[in-house]
Amino acid sequence: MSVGAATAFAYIRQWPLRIARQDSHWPILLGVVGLIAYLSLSPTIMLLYGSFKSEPLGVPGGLTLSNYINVYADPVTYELLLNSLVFAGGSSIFSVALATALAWITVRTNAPFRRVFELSAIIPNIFPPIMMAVSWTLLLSPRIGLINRMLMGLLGLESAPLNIYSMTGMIFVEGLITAPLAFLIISGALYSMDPALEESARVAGSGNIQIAWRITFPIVRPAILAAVTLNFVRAIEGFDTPAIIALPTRIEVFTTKIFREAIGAYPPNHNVAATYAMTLLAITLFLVYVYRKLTVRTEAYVTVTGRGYRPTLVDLGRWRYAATVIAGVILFFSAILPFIVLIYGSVVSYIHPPSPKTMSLLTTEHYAYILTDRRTYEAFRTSLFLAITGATLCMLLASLTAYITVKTKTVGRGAIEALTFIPWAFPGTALAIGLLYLYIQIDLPIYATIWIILIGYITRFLPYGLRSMTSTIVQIHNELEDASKACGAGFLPTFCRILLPLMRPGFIAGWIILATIFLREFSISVFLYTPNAEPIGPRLYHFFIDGEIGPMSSLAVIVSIVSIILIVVARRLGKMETYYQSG
Amino acid sequence: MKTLKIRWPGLIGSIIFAYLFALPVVAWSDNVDVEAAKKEGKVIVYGTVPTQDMDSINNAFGKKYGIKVEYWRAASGKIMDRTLTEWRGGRPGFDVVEGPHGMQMILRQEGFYAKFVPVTASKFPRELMDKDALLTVWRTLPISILYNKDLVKPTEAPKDFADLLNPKWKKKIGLADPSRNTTSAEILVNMNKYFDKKAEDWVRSLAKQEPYLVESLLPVGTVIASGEVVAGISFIKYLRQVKGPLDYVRLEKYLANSNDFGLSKKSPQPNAGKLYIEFACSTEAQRLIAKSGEFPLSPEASPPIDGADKIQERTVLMDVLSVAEFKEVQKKYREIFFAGK
Repeated sequence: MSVGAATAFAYIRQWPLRIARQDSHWPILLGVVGLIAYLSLSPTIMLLYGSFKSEPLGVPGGLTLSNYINVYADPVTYELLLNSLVFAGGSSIFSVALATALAWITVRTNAPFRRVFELSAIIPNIFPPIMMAVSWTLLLSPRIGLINRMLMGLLGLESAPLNIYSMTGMIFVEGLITAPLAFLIISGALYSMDPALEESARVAGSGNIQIAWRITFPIVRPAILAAVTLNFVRAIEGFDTPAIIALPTRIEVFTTKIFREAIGAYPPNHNVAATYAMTLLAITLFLVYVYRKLTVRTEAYVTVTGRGYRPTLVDLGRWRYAATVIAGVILFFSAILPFIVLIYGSVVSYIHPPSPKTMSLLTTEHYAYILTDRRTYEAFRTSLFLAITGATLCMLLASLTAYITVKTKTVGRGAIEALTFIPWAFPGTALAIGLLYLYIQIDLPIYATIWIILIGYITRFLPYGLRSMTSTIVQIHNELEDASKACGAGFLPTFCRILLPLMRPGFIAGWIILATIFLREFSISVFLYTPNAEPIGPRLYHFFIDGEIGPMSSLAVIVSIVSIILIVVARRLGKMETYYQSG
Repeated sequence: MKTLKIRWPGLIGSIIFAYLFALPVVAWSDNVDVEAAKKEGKVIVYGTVPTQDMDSINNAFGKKYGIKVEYWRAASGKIMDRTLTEWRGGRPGFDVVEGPHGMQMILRQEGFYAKFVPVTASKFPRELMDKDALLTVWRTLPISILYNKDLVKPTEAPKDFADLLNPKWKKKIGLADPSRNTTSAEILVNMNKYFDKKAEDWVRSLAKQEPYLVESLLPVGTVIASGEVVAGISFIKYLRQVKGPLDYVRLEKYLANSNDFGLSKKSPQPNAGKLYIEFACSTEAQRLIAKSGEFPLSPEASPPIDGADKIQERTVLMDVLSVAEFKEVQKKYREIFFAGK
């Protein structure tokens, strides 16, 4: 026996001993590992199986290579690849540029009204993204777009200067939709950073811009990279914007192709959809792997300890008003203007450019319809359940996972890290196809129920929760936890009484993001919903494809208001907790 | 001289036999057990008629029999995806499926449907009845060129499909993406009924007009109403179902789809399913659905659309494509309509 083999054998023999030496939390650890392994691996394996399957979904059959041969022999596949990369790359860079500017102005400068901007930056996160795309088509359509008509009138142009129905238009809209997510990540990092380095630079004579460029942004670079990666994955797997803008533009991306094969084809071909989805998954897995390699060292930095800290504000002098204007313009385009269009669409009989005739077309019939329509009511109930239950379960799982991967040196920690890598990269459309193949085989009441959607949401969005919890936990110094343990507390008391309260800001921030995403999630739901469990996202989409812009807009307004209430309640809960903690 | 000896019982038997074979769908035999249907309490229907319009039938049915209708509306592609997936997974959740004939033929091949012909369909044109009694045609969907009458005067509107190739309509026509929407693909294939062998040339020329593509025929009406385009190819019924200044071009003949009902062979509520189909084909229900612009088959029901009687007279049913033909034409239309993109 070689030395290496002997070492490996000895290592394996010591496993029971190593497990026994672990703290009493190992059953919880095993449970978390098992759950994450199940959530991550089972749809991946079934997606792979589906892509090699010779017979349609639900029909027993053998394995074949023909799906891959058909897909990769088709030149359209390479068009999709190029379109998807351009779309995702462009929109992620655009969104992060907007978010970084807004985050820096609101968190680190003395620009007037910055607190207002900080709150408003979350607002776009509560609009159903599909509605953002619809709003912008009504603003920038070459024929009826309100902005185009205004510009044509002002500048005396004969044709529309802007066209939403283009790749640039898709990038612009997707960038606006994903900017709030980037804002939350980057502003969180700006809040959390240790001001000592900036203060040292200032003492050494550096100016504001120099400090921002050479100190602040290098420190928050992991957060910026995280935001770019998240938004790239979000865009390449997203179906909202392409569903609205891509078809009139005649641009096809991976998600529209998967939708076309899985639902739009006559009859549907889930096997080919699974093959395209595998390609998409391979791309996102690769990108997330590269990202992890790039950020693994910098993420380990601890910037918050048990000691208090407070980031200092940069005095912009007379430029502070310009900063306010810049932030205001970003928010006007990403939140206020689309919302105005949404309200307009909800109160006119049918969509048309405003004219003297508009007054006679004002109506409340769309709201009356939405508030009395049984299917919409059921959709609302379904989504509310998914938002509250899904976000809570997902954040609890994320908290435990983040704790185990960041704070413990336990056996299996590496396995969890590796497993969370998959949902991090899993496109919603690909995950949905994998779940369909999985649960149609299992004789449990999950397929064609609300539970398959809930599982899909938790799996897909666990990384969002993890992102929030990991960045919180990494900043909590071990001294607090060690103090608890020194006093004799075990894993669960320490986790519940020390760590969870300290993690509460991250927990609430993550919960808000997840609940608002779940409330109008579309990319997964559109593949998994059934008549008995139809969430709001597919309901909105059906209104759109049926041309029912009025009911769609009024439903979106109501969803936005409910999202705002959710956020306010969650924030108030957070404040109450802080109040109680402070005595 | 031999006399012909007629064996009357045999002759009568032969006549009945021949009659049954020649016209098998005269078996309006399926008596629906109304009490059993009421006990089942609900019926689950997947259909393509917009919910607001189908509500007139569903509410009347519920009021008359006390049976709740769970109606789920979706585009035909989505209905086919959902029903096939449920069926193959062994968990069909529907009693009745309503949809275009092409879709229904595919589902029928899968063995979805039980034999059932409602008594109330006896007044429908016999040539439209299904020989195997698996599907019941109940409405047609005539097609024309719709236009925005605020933006185009009737005298300046396209005269016919050939006129759509006039350069003045370039980028101003709405069309359901024929590489995705099966009805749109069927319409283009059936253009040979207008243009004979030049139909494909017409399709290619139409693609050069760079039409504004949408998901299905309903949003064609919406984008015309909003002024996004000024004209488009769609169902005439949208004059009543889409709000906005819409009118349609009067044609010599109107291509039309037919839509069928099918009763699931594994229906969880079979009696309620039968009763629902029977009710939807009754004159009472057909008049209700006609009010929303639908063209039902009952001769006693007509939609409140100007010239509806002429449309019904001039309707030409489209040829239905097989699955293989669909795949072929949709691939071809993708190449034609997405060329250069």
